[in-house]
Amino acid sequence: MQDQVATRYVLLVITYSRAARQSLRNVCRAHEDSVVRRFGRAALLESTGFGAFQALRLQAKHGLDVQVERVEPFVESDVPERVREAATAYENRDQSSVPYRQFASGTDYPSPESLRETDV
Amino acid sequence: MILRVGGQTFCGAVVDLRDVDVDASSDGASIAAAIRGEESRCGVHCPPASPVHARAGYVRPGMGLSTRTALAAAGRSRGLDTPSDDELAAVRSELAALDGDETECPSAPTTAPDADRERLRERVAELRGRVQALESTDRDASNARSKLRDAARRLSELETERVAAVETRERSRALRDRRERRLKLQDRGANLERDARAHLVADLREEFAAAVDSLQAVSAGGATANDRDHPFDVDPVTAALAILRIAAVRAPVVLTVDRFEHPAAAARWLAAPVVRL
Repeated sequence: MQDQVATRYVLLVITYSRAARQSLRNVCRAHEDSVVRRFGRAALLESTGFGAFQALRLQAKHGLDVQVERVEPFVESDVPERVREAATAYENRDQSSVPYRQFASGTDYPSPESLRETDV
Repeated sequence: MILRVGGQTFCGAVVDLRDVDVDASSDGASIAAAIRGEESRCGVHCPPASPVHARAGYVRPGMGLSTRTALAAAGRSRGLDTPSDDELAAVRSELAALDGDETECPSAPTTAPDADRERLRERVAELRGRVQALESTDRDASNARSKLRDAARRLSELETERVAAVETRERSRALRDRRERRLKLQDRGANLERDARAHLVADLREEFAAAVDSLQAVSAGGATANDRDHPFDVDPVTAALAILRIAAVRAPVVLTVDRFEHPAAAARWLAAPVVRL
């Protein structure tokens, strides 16, 4: 699942008003090249000067109604192996009705609590 | 109504200004604005205008009209309800409560990147070591001490900024939770309004078609042929007149079109006071 852009950030822009959402739509339409992905009232923009320029423009226009975060692509190999193994094994379980807690108990798979305490 | 326009005063349920020296388009717009209670150079005493007036209260050649929206407003003027109304009222009241205590959050203070703080922290440690080394060998440490003081002060400033930035971030999150709720409610409200409008339009569709037919019968000409399958496929003037006939209208309607034999006939057909220019 690793690719060449694994270390590149993207800008997550989330809007919180109808006007800001409309502005974001307009920006995405006008600058498709800089848009990584569009959602209803949010979008991922490329983390370039141009992407940041658009994000900051939106924030300047709509203030708190625009939230900008810099996010990192998820790289599976950064996740501890036991977490990855547990996920695969649980999805391949025989009985679909078994909750994870029950599935993991008495095995080497981490408990839900231990998963929650694991920082990745 | 009592109408004051161009220095003259007119009274009655039907005011015919065709032989009075007024400008049909500019004075028509001013009279319609005055009827809606807006700023205007004309004066009108009349019952309060309904939302129908904002859409169809000034019937003139070349007018535009959102027929369905206006027809829904006509339905509301008659007190018609829709199945969406209860939830719509709940959404509106929650929105009003959310709008109440809006506090604008200060923009996040600009903070130095983590790397800068880390470098400064190392610099402080290094200077501290140098001061200790100089003091332990009884050499002059005043210069190093002064540099240490400066670096430590700068570091403490950066740390304070950092804490402030984190607090701002948390405050922003709480404020955005509210805005997110508000946006959801606004979207829900818009959907409900659309549903309500569709419901009212469906309720009044037949009545609207009948009003258009009736207008054709009385019209001095100009009303477009009506297609029962597409009742909304009529010109805006015809649609506006049909909507006004359906609506419960107490404030005067301004007309600059020739669809009736005389203004009194218009007033009778519309069941509303009329100003004819």
